[in-house]
Amino acid sequence: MAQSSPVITGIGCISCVGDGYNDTSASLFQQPVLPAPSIYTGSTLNFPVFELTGFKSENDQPGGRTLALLRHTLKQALRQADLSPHELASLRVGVCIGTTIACQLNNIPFYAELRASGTAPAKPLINFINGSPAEWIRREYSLNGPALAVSNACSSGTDAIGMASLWIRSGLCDIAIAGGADELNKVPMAGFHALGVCSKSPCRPFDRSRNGLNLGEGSGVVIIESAESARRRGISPLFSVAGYGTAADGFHITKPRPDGSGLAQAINCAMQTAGIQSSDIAFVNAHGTGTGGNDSLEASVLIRIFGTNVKYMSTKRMTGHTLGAAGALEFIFTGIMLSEGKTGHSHGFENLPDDIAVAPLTSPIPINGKFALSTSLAFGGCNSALIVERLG
Amino acid sequence: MFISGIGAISASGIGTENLETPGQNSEIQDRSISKDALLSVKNKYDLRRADRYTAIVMASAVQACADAGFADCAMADTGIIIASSFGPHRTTFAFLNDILDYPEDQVLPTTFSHSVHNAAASYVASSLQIRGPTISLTGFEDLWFDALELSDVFLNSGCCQRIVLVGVEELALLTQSLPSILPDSFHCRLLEGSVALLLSSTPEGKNYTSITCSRRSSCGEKPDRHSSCATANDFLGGAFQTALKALASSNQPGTTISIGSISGLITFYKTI
Repeated sequence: MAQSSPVITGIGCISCVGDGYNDTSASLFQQPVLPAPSIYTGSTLNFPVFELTGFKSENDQPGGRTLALLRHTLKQALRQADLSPHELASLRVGVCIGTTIACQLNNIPFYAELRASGTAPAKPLINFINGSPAEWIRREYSLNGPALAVSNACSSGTDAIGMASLWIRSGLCDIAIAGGADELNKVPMAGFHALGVCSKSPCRPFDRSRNGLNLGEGSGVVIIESAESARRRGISPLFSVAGYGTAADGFHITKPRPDGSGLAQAINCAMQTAGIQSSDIAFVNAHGTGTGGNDSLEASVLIRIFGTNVKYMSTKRMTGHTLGAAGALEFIFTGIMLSEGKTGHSHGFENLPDDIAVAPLTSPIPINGKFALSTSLAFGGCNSALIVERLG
Repeated sequence: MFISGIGAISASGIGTENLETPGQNSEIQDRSISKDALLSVKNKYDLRRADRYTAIVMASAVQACADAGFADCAMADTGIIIASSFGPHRTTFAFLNDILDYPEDQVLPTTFSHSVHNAAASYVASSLQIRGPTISLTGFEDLWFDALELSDVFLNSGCCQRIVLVGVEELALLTQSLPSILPDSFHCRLLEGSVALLLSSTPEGKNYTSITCSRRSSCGEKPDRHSSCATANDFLGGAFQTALKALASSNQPGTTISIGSISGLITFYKTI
């Protein structure tokens, strides 16, 4: 392990896998739920999504449903980390949250009125500004550290955790609250449908018949601190953020660089931070969206780096693609699997396609290794990787 | 870290020569960047499909790199951080136009893809062959300061040698309507433009000055933040001021700009 890797002392998560650490830990190794057409977004598009139908939220609040999901998981994480508002206010605490929805004012009724009349009610605008997720948390808990919302499309959650881990490594913060959150609404549904990447059936990452992704919603939050800080507070860490790497394709706004060198650079950078070799990685929780382009490119890079014995999988069939939350949730899932000593597997995979040389895991396997990798590939050519280390 | 190159675009034009101090020229009614200026950027860098926001980002980013002598060089060990309160909201609203005016299944994919915050970073990375971190940030309070601080963290982590840091806001229906929708919070017309700093871990290029970030709020102190009062004007103002301070330092070798943040307000509390 690289010197003083930041550790995770609290986790909050909600997705179609489960609500909270214990529920998620148990359900991660069960059969996933089936996606279904959206009930609450008002979308007329009839493709299946992973919607949190049991999670109620008021849209007429700062940050809307996305911030409601984030607040829900933030409370879980702070409780597990045994951090009170009073204690937080006495420390140097930074907040770094990935999102794609909460950083855009895409309130359709507000915009319709503004467009028609040149003005609009103030409240949706105030809710948008006040609901900027990282700054909302900083205000709510009277924090004094940096507060950044990362809008790096599908790698936002991974980058938020990675950047926050750098804050801890650099000594800028004592504690970092990091993660990602995104809701389902009409805008991403219409947008991803227009891009032609939404499957009409449950997604099948890495499978021969894969034909697109399922959108989803959720939130994942982790509390990051130095190992010394956790020891001082008397908290047992769950696992550590051993490495983070991020690299640009510098190629195209929507297409990944065909040689996969951006993703490879991000993974290599993460391993370098962690001070480990590719042989130290027990398994990879891949981005694996179920789209043709992503899955073949990602698999080829993983095989190139980790060899044909690579153990990899995707959890997108369990959660859908939760966009800004995806990287955070998958980092948490990776940590849980590592801690449990067994992998999950790639639900939805049945047959190896011609363009992928090694099949993903089709059933859970026991693992003894200490390190695992979680990858995110984003629109815009952002590639990011986090390395999780099992402790103890 | 060191400021090795500076680029800017504003209503005054492309380049740092006419960069105005925030608050100056308040009598100017049209604070928008001219179409001609943006068209020249789009043509030069083959931004055929790119939106206006991307062109504004691109104008300052490429200028900052050229200013440091990296105009035609591959910049593989460089990252880019783009910070904006409102992002490409003109394009976001263009996509909402599609949703309002057409059936949901007939909206344009290109409009959607350009409405994503990090589309601009993608274009800059492609044009300059930047292969390091590409990070798009949003916020309304200490965004410019936090972005500067993050740049320093990235540089010190060793994952890249340089960062192109861009502060940007675009004027469009939403930002132009802010004073009428929230008159108590947005008193004046906002600035439009972008400022880019090429930040390096070692002195190079023009080497205008070194810059340090200092977070001055003490723990437990409740920051006096008024989120709905934070304005894009304040934010871009911080970026413009940083560039102006660096330009002013260029003929004073060994100068360090210290930038601090107190309760959401950027302050330049020390210039050596």
